[in-house]
Amino acid sequence: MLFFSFFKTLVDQELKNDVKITGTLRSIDQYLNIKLDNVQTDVAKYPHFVAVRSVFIRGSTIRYIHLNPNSVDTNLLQDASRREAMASSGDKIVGR
Amino acid sequence: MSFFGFDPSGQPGHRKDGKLDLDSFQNFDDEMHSEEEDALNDETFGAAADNLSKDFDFSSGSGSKLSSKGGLKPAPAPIQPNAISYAQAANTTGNDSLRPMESLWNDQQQNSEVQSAQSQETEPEKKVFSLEEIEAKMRAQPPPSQLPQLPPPQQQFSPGMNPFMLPPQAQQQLLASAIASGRYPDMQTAARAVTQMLMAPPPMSQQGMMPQGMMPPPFMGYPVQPMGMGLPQQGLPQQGLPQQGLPQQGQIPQPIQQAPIQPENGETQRAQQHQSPLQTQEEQAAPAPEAPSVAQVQVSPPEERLDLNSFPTIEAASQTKSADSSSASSPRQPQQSHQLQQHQQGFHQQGYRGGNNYRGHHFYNQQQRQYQQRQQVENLNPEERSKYLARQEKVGKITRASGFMNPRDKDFITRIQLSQIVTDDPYNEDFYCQVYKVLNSSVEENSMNYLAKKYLEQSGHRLGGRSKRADIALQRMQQQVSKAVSVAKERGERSGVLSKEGALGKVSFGTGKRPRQLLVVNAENKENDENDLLPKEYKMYRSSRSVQLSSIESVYSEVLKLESRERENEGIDDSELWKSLQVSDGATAEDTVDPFVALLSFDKMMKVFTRVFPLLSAEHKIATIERIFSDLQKVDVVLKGSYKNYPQQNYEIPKDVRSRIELFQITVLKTLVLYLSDAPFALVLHLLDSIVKKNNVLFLCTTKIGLSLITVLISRLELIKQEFSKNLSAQDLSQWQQTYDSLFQCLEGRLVTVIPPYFSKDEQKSVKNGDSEGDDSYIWQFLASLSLAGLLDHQRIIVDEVRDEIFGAMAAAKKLKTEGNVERAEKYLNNLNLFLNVMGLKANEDDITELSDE
Repeated sequence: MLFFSFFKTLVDQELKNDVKITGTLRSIDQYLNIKLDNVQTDVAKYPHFVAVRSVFIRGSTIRYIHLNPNSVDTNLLQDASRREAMASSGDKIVGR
Repeated sequence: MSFFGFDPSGQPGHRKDGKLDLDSFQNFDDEMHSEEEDALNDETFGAAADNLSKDFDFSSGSGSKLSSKGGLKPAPAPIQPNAISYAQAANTTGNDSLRPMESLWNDQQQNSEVQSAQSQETEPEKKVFSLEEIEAKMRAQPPPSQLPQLPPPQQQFSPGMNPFMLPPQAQQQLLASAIASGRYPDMQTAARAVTQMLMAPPPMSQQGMMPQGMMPPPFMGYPVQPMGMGLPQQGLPQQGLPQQGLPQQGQIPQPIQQAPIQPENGETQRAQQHQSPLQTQEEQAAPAPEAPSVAQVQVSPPEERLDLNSFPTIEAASQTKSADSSSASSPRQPQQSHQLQQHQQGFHQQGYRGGNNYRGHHFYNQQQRQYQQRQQVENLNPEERSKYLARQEKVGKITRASGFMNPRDKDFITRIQLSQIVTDDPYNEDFYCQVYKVLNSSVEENSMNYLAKKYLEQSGHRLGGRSKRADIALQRMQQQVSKAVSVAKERGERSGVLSKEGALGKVSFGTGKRPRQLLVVNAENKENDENDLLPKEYKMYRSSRSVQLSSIESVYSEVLKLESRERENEGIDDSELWKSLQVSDGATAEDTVDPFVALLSFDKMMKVFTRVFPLLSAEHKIATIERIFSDLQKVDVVLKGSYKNYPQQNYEIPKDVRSRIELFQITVLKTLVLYLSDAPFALVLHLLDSIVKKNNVLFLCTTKIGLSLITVLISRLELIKQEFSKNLSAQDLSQWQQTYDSLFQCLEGRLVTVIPPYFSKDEQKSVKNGDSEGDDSYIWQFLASLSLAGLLDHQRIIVDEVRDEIFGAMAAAKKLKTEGNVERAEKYLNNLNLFLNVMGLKANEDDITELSDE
């Protein structure tokens, strides 16, 4: 599960999602449910978030996740996706 | 109706819980302060048990009406049996004291209601009778001798208490009486029955105290007195009541408790109106344990329970008070007024609701902290008290929904989650994460231990409760992880698609790791030659973009495979990779460009080249380089990289081409240069030869890539020649001379063309464009290496041809210096001197001098 594998490495990165919530990624599971700490939002627009410090967001409700490009290893990401594609097409790499 | 608020369906659970509660009750004190989850759970279920009996509803706490009322009420803590004196109990909030009355009335009302399925009007009367009877009884009983023992009973049944909180003594009594009744074969069943009775909502009673009709159907299953007995009694409430009272006193093995209570109640009522109801309740409750027959026993506890439920809301309390006062006086009156009863009914409903409220809010707190709370509250002034209560309220809300899962449940969930996360094939399913961790932190260990730890961290999962047991939690988690891994292994391969033979459709199912496939492409029958089946216009030519891209992908696949083998320290066989590179395929009639060279026009291919090259065998490396060099002018970046292609654009190379040239430089060129810097003389010479012979050298020299490559080759050759000339054969040297001559011939007379107009300092051809500010040192390096390898004649020709450029550069440097841009001027001169120094010359902005040692 590439996405899961990918996002696992991004714990502590700043994310945003649908309503534009920015926070520190605390954990993520295989459904890409995410848990954010130190949450910040546009309080003027969403006053009900004023008191929210941490959130748990159901993965299926997230539209975008913005990531810090510096924390993404694109070459590795390409490799990983190729590997997964190979594995799912039956041409599986046995070793590391 | 509130009466039917009792949820019969809740009973079985309740019974169970009740038992739990009994068990946990002994340890109550111990558990009170422990925050262990287990303990919490116990508290949750155990504590809940008493409340559960009625309409147990987890969500009830959230009900708006409940919360509104519950909020107002001080947490009516169950008073611990022995801790509070009678006086204290008496002083407790009016609400509490009123409760008993409520319950009493409730029961009666219920009775009457059920009973008289016909009309409500009849109910009140019956009720009245019963109440009267009770009070009358109370008075009738002889108070004095039993007074001293009054307090204990009260405490037992004090407001917050549930039936299970009966002191062991009372329980014993119940049990004893149950057994004595002969209904139960042995102790255990008797005990169970008693417990059930205690737990059960108002069971039907013989005496008519408990309305049989009232009982919701489910209760029928319980050990209930035969209906027949109850009915007549209900019909004649007065008789029923006396029966209750009399048998108790007479038959109860421990008369002490009973007797004292009743008298006391009577007294208390007079003395303290608030408490009178409570006492009444107690009175009723107390008799129960001692009741000679099982039926009686059953009756009384349920009453208590009712009371508890209907228990304290403030509104209810106030109403109750009035009711109390009236009832206090009324007992002497033969009959209560209809109104009063109705009033009480209404109040009862409210009270009942209040009870729910109370339950919802203080569900968990109740048992844990009630006692403490109670004591604290009593010591507070009103302000503090309201604060305190508000806080309690909040705490209650927070803890309302906590502790519903026991550790096992949690383990189960954890296991499910882990089984999704854990994989036995991390390098295929979790490649990114695995490698990323390796690349970005040297310390990370990759063991189960680590995974377990990480999971615990991230999930904030506290299996062990507080930190003191974190290690245990970790151990458990590790076990879970390894279990999950082994299960994942056993599960083996799953295609995610279930297709049954003959079925029209396919069922695809997904897991966390392998999401459901929406498209199932039939991979079978792929063997058929597509060329035969496809119409001609769909045929793919090797030079088509899609075929090339797929070729590159196959290169990637081979690279990944080989790299994997390399990491596993297995031998590398590059034959597949070599095949995918198509280096040796050569151009066919269809292609204009060699397939491998064509691939190099893709960024992807350039990027993978740095990874491909080291994996190739020695001869394959050479063959690859040869292929590139001999077709150098067809390489995309070279082909498009000449300034001569863009006279209309002021010789400015388009941005996209430029960026690809840069990419080529840092990928392919870098790899080649690295390889060439170790290559032997003959090979380098051979490569240079192939460049010179098979390409248009003049064109190559107008490109940055071409010029740089030639520069590298020449300087490498010259370096070897000067340092290891002894090792070189005369043949090699003469060969090198020939190659140089042919190269020089190509350029002679047109040497200025290597300098793009935008770098030129010759005013006649100089052009300004976006590239002008770029780095032109590679040109001077080329000129330097060319003159380094050449003889004096060659050098003279070179200098002659670029003389204008040399002086142009000096002039430009001078101008820059006068403008104050010393840095840039220095750069110009330095580049110029790269070239001049080779010939022993040195330039400054004014003059060219001989290079001296000084």
